[in-house]
Amino acid sequence: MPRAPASLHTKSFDRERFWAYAAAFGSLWGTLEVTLGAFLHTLRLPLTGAFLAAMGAALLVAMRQFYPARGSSLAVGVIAALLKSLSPGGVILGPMIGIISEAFLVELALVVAPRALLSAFVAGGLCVLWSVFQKVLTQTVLYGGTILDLYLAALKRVDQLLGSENAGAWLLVVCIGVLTLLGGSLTLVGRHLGRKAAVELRQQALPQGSTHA
Amino acid sequence: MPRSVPPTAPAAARPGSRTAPWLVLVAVLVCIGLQFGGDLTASALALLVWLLVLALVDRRALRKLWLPRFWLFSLLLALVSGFLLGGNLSKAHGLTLSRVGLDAGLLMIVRGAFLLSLAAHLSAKVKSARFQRLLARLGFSGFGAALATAFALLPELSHTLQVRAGVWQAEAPTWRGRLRHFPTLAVQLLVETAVLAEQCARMGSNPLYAAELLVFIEGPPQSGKTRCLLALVAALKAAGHSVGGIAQPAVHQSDERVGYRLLDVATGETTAFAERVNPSAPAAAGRRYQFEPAAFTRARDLLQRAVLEHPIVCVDELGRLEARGQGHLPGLQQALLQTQPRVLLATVRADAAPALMLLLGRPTVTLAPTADAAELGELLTLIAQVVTRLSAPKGDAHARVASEEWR
Repeated sequence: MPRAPASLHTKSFDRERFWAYAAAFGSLWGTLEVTLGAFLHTLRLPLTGAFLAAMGAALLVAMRQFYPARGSSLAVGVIAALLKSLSPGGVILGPMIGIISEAFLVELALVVAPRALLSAFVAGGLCVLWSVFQKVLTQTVLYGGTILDLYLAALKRVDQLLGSENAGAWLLVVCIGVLTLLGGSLTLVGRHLGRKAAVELRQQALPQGSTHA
Repeated sequence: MPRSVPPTAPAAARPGSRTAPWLVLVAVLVCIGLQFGGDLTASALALLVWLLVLALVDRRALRKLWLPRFWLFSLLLALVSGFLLGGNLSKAHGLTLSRVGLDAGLLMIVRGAFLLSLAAHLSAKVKSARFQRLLARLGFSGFGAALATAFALLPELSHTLQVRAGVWQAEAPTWRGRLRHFPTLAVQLLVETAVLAEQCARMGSNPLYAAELLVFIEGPPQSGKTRCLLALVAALKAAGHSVGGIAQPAVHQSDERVGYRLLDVATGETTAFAERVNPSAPAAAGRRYQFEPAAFTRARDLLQRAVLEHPIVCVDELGRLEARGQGHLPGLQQALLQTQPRVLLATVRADAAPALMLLLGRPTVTLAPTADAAELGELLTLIAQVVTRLSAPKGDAHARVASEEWR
């Protein structure tokens, strides 16, 4: 693998590089959130949040294929969240918390083996699950525990409609499973693309492989 | 001599900035206490009190509560809880409803409204200058520079995305073709971003931090920032300093502001910059003035010339547009990438100051437009010292040490 000139491999340059990657990929994530996110929200498609979460995870996993520095996913997430905070708009705390949490989950999933297939899948699955969980959590904070009673009552009504005990719960489990699978798969695509990008970057002889953090 | 002159804007320009936060905090705590008792009347009372507080201190947060979809959803939830929750069923228009369930639903709406309005108020606080300054004081220097770089990269990455998406659609008109081409597009985007990151790392995270002395004249709109800048420029020129850059003096007709002119600070020449076309449009919407087509190009040319020819450069009216990476900012960035002025004087709108601080660096001096003669005199002495010391030959060790002191 081609390396940068020795003079560039200083601790200070590694730090510059770490923050430069955080800035560039944080900016890319912010741009995607603004452009693609706005487009999907305008279309009023269901599960837009889950899709954006999976896309964010895929981007982070892709980046870690050619820049595996520990902590970089979290740094990218914090930058992207703060870019969101500086953008004009209404209530921004929710999306900010969402982006930082997703980045934290990806960082957690990639901590042991940042380039492994399983790590990537887990990262995507966790992010999509979080996006669903955050929605329920936000509603619980906003409306109180009554909303959970309401969801449980709705599940019981589904049981009655389908005429089978626990049918509602099983339906929920299947939905969550499908979502996790889709999130994981999208992140695997991200990993694949990241590896292809790593090959191209190696051909362009860019310095790589810094794992200082 | 103090390194920084604190802003001394008049109290009228910052209503309630000192006392209101404590009152608001007390109101928040009392309302939270009432809200979480679980009693509908107490919750409704708390909501009413909080909305009154917002009406007094933060009307913008009140306007953010105009969310028809959210309220429709909340109403639906209350009705559904009437059907699904609690006993004590009663018939209404042929439907079986529970009074307990409806009460629970109403409580949810009241609590939701309270927390939403609280979040709207807090969101503004997160964006406020105090919060951003706190982040800077905590010493996240690398992080701050990265955020500034990320912000500066946003327009470029948006442009790259648009171009790539355009090429993608043109090369593959069918959905199947687009799907096939998507991996190539994504890999190119990743590679371009990685190359950009490497370039940023080589340059240092933020090349715009390098002005020896960065002065922000900071204040709300129409508080006299340009007048203060022009007074400083006049005093510097009178003292024999070479000053360049741009200013935007307002044009008045019978005491009414009808437009702006672009002033070349070095020569004193002015050209038309903006004309008021829609006096009734809200200032925040940015539709009140129509800009001359070539105005920003001329401003950019003047800034580029100024950094090359003058040690002291000024730029006027950095506001929300620049905080979003538009207006004068691209021109200023291009100019600063060529070479660094020793002193950069900028007038900055108070609400855009935090974002601009991240883009241009922390100002060495922050001056209020209402600064008195003593403060202006202090700043003039400081500028003179920086310019004179740095004018010494490169090999002069004393001059280099002195210049480092200002960093």
